[in-house]
Amino acid sequence: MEVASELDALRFVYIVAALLAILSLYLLLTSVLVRYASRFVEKQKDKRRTLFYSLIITYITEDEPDLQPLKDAVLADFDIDLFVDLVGDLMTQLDGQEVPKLQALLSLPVIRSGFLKKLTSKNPKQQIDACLYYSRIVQLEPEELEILRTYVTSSNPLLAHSAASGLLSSSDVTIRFEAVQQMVRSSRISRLALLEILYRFHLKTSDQFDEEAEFLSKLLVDETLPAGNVGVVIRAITDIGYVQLLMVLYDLLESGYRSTDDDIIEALIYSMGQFQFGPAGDWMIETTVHHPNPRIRRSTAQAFQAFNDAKYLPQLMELAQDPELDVRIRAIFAMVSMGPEGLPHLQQLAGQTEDLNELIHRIQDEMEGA
Amino acid sequence: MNQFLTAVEYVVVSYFLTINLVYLVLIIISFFYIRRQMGQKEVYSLSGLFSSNLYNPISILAPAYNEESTVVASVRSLLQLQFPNYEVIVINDGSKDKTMQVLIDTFKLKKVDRYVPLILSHKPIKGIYKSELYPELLVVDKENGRKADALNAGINVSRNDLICSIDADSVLEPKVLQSMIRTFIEDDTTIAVGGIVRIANDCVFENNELKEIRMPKSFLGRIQVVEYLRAFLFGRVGWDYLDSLLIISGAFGLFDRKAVLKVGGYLHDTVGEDMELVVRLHRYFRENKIPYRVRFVPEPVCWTEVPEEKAVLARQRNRWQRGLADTLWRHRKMMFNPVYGRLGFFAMPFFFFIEMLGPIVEVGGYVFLFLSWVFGALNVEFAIVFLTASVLLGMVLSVASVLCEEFTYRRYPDIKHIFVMFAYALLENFGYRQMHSWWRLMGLVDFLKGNKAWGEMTRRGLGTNAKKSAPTTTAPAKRSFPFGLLFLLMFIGSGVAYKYRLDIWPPEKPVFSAMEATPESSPDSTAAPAASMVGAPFHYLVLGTFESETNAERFVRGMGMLRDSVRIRPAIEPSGLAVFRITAGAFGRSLTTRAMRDRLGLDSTDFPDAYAVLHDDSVPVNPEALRLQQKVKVRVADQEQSEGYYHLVVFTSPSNSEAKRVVESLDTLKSQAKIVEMRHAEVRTLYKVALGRFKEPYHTFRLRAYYGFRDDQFADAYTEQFLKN
Repeated sequence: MEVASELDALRFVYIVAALLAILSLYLLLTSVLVRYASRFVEKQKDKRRTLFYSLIITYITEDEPDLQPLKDAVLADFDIDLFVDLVGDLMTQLDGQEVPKLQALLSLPVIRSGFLKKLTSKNPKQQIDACLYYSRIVQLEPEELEILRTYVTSSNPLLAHSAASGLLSSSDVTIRFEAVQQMVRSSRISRLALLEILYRFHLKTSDQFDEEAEFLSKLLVDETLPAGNVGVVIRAITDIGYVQLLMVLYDLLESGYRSTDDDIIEALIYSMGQFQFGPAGDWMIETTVHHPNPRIRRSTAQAFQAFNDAKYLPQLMELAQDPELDVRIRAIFAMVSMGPEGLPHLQQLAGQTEDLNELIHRIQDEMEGA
Repeated sequence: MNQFLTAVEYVVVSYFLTINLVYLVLIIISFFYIRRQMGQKEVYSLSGLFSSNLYNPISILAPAYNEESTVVASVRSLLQLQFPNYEVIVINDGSKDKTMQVLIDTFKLKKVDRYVPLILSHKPIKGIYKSELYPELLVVDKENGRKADALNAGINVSRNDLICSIDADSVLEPKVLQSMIRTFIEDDTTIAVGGIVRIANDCVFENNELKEIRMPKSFLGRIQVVEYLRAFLFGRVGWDYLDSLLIISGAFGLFDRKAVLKVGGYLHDTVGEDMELVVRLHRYFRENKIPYRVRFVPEPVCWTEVPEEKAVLARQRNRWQRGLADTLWRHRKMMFNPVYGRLGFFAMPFFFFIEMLGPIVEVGGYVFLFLSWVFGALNVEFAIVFLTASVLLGMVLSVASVLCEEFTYRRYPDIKHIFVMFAYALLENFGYRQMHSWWRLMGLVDFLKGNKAWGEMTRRGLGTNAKKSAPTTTAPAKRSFPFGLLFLLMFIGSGVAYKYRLDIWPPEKPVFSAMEATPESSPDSTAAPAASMVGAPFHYLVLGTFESETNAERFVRGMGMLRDSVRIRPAIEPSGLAVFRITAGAFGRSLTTRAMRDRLGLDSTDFPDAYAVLHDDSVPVNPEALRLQQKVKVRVADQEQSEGYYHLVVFTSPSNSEAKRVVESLDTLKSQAKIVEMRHAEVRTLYKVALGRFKEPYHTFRLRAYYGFRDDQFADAYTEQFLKN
C-alpha cells in the first residue's frame, strides 16, 4: 500500500515537472513571439509615422494646403491614434498660424467619427482616449459636448478628469466653467488635479479675463462645495491674478463666510497677502493672530510680511513667540523683511532665549546672503 | 525516525508550495495590473499645474560617501532631469576621500548661510554650499553618520513638499519625476511612491544619460537582472495592487516630506532604513486612522549598479536580510493585528514567514536532504524529480516576469536578451540560489548577534574603472563555509556548474564604457536622421544679460512649461553674464519661443527669427523653422557638412560684428565646426510684473547671432572658450 502511494506521488511529481517544463518553454516562446510581433507593429507604425509626418509638414508649410493627400493616407493606413498623437505633439510645440491648420487636421471627418465611436463605446479606456482627443478640439459638436458633460460627472476620476480636459479646450468660457464647476464639486479630486483644471480654465490667448473671473466668483459663494476645493480655487484665483475678485474675497473674509472651514480662511489670508491688500490686516489682527490653527497663524505672519507695514510688528512679536516652530520662523522672516523698523523688535526677541537668538541670526544671514 | 523525517518532509513541501502559490498569485495580479496601467494614456497633462506656483516642487536627496570618482557624473545626471522647479541636495556624509573638494571645484560651490531647522536629529552639519553654476544645486557637508543620518539632514535642509531619496550612484531617467508626481496628483493621500530600479552594469551612458541598454556581462550581474525583474515587475506591483507595499527601494523613492517628518524621519540604528521607514509610515497612518496611500509605479526607472563580486553581493544580501529582520522585529506589533488590516494579516506574515524565515527552511531542507541520504531514508528518484519540479517552478516564475516585461516595457532591446534571461532563470537555481539562501541565513544569524554594520560595498562606478567603497563601519566577518563542497554533495554538478560559469564570466570592461568615448566615436554616429524626426536633441546656448544671479535664476524658473520640456543648465560666468545651456527636443525651439511669449509677455512677432535653424534638408524638423529657413535664406553651404543635424547656438554680444569676431577667434571651434551663417536680431522685452511676484521689471533679453554647430561637443567647446575669453 505504502509503495503504491509512493509510486503515485512520484508519478504526480513527474507530471508536475513535465507540465512546468512545458509551461516554461511555452512562456519563453510566447516572449519571443511577443517581441517579434511588437517589432513588426513598431515597424509598421514607424512607416506610417514617417508618411504622416512628411504629409503633415507639407500641409502646414504650404500657403494653400491640400488636404486630400492626408485624407487618403489616413484612410489607407487607418491609424487615427497615431495620426492624432503626431498632430497633438506638434500642437503642443508650435504656435502661430500652424495651430489652426493642425486643428483642422484633427477635425478631419474620418478622425472625428472614429473618436466619436470611441467616445460612445463602453470601454473606459476608449472613452478616456476620446476625451483626450477632444481636449485638442476647440469647436465641439452638440453630441460630443453632451457626452463629455455626462462623463465629467463620472465616478471614475480619470474619465472625469479627461472629460473635463475635453470641455476645457473650448473657447466658450461657459463650457469651460461647466468643467471646472463639476470638478470643484467632486470630493475625490486632489488639490493638484484641481489646480491643473483651474489653470487650464484660464485661456491665455483670449480676452476673457473678466468673464472667467465672474464665473469663478460663483464658486466662492456656493456653500455646497467642499471647503478644501474652494480653498484651492481661492489660491488659484490669486495666483493667476483675477484682481477683479479681490473685493469679493475680502468681503468673504470679513463677513466670516464659512469661518469654521480653516482651508478657506487660510486661502483667503494667503490671497490678501498676495494681493497686498492692507485693509485686511486689521481684520487679521483681531481674528487670526490668535487662531487655534497654527497653519492660519502662519499664513497671517506671511500676509503681514507681504503688507510690509511696521504697524503689524506687535502682532509679529507675538507670533514670533508662538509655540509652533513654523509660525515662529515665518514671523521672524516677516520682521527681518521690515528692515530697520523691525530691528529693535528682533533685538528684543534675541535677548530672550539662546535658541531664538540663533534662529534670528541665521535667518538674517540667510536673507543677506540671498 | 521515519515519522520525524516524514513530518519534516511535509513541512518543507507545504512551505515550498505556499511560497510558490503566493508568488503565482502575485504574478497573475501584477500582469493584469501592469497591462491595465500600460494602456492608460496620460490623463494629467500637467501643463496647467506647471504654470502654477502652487504645486509641490521636489527636493532630490542624494547622500554621498567616498564617491569622488562618481559623484560628478551622478550630480550632472540629476541636474538634467526634465521637471520644473526641483532642487538637488547632495549630502556629503563625512567622506574621507575628495568627494567634497571635487564637488566644490566642479560645481563652483560657495558656502552659504541657510537656516536649517533641526526637526530630525542628525550628525552636525559642517557647512551648506550653493553652486554658482547651478542654482538648484545645494551641497550639505556633514559629519559621517551613515545613509539614514545623511537623508535626515537632507530632509531638514529641504524646503519642498516632496523629497526624492536616491543613491548617489544611481541614474534617473529624465522624465522620471513627471511620472512619479502623477501619483500624487491622482490621490492627495499619497505619501510615498516607489519606482522600478533596473541594472545599469554594462549599459552605455553618454553625458550622464542612458544611451544603450545592455545586458551585464558577468554571471552575477545577469542573475540579478532576472532577480530585479521578478522583484519589481511582479513582487512590488502585486503588493501595490493589494495596497500592502512594505518596501520602497532606498535607491529611488518619492516621499511626502511632511509625512516623513511626522514619523520622525529615517532611523539611524538600522541597516534597512528604507523598508523601516515605509513600515513606520504605514503604522503611523493606520494607528492614527489617517487616510494614506503608499504606491509603486512600475514605469519610472532608476538605473543602478549592482555588485558583481561574490563577496560584495554576499555582504549586500546579508545586510538586506538583517534590515528585513530588524524591521519586522521592531514592528512585530503589527503582525496579525486587526488595526493594521491586510498589512497585519497578509503582508507582514508573508515577509516574516516567507522572506525572513525562507532561508532557514531552504537551507534546512538541503541539510535534511543530505541527512536523509546519509541515513538511507531518501528516495533518490523522488528527491531528484521533486528538486527538478521546484527548479522548474522557480523558472516558470522568472520566465513569467520576462514575459511580463515583453508584454509591457521591453527595455532590453535584443531578442537574444530574452534567451539570456531564460538561461539565467534556469542557471540561478544551481548554486546561486543555494548560496543566496546561505547569505540570507547568515544575515539572520548576524541580526541575532546584533551586528549592525553596513559592510563594505565595492563597485566599479559610473563610467570609470575606479573602485568605489562605501564602508560606514566595519564589514561583517568573512565566512569560510564550504559552499562548493556542500552543494557538490547535495546537487551533483550544480556547484561545479556555478564555478564554471564564474570562470567564463569574469568582470570585464568598465560599466559605463561610453562615458569614456573618444570625441571621434560620439555624437554623430548616434544621431541618425531617422531618429531625429521627433524629439531629437537640439542644444542651445543662450546667453542672456541679467543684472544679478537672482534675476537670472528667476528667469529660468519663470520659464514654467519650458523647464518641463527642455533641460536648462544655468550658469553664471565671472563677468556676470548668465548662461543657460538648453537641450530641447526637435520642437523645443518653438516651445522656447512660446514659453518666452507667455512668460515674458512677448508677441510672437517679436522674435520670429529665433526659429531660424540650420538643418539637413532630409531631416524633417520644426516646420516653423522650415518656413523661416526659406524666409531668412539660411543655407547650408557645404552639403558634406550637412549630414545629421545642427545645433543652434544663440548668444549675446555688444554688437553683431563683435559677435562675429568672438566666434571667428575661436580656433578650436573653427577647426571642428562649420560656422554657417550669422543672423542678427534684437529683441527687447520687459517682463510683465505678475501680481508683484517679481517686483522689478525684467531685463532686456537680446538674441544677437546664431551659429549652427554639428553637435553639442562643439557647442561645449564653444561655451568653454567663450567663457574663458
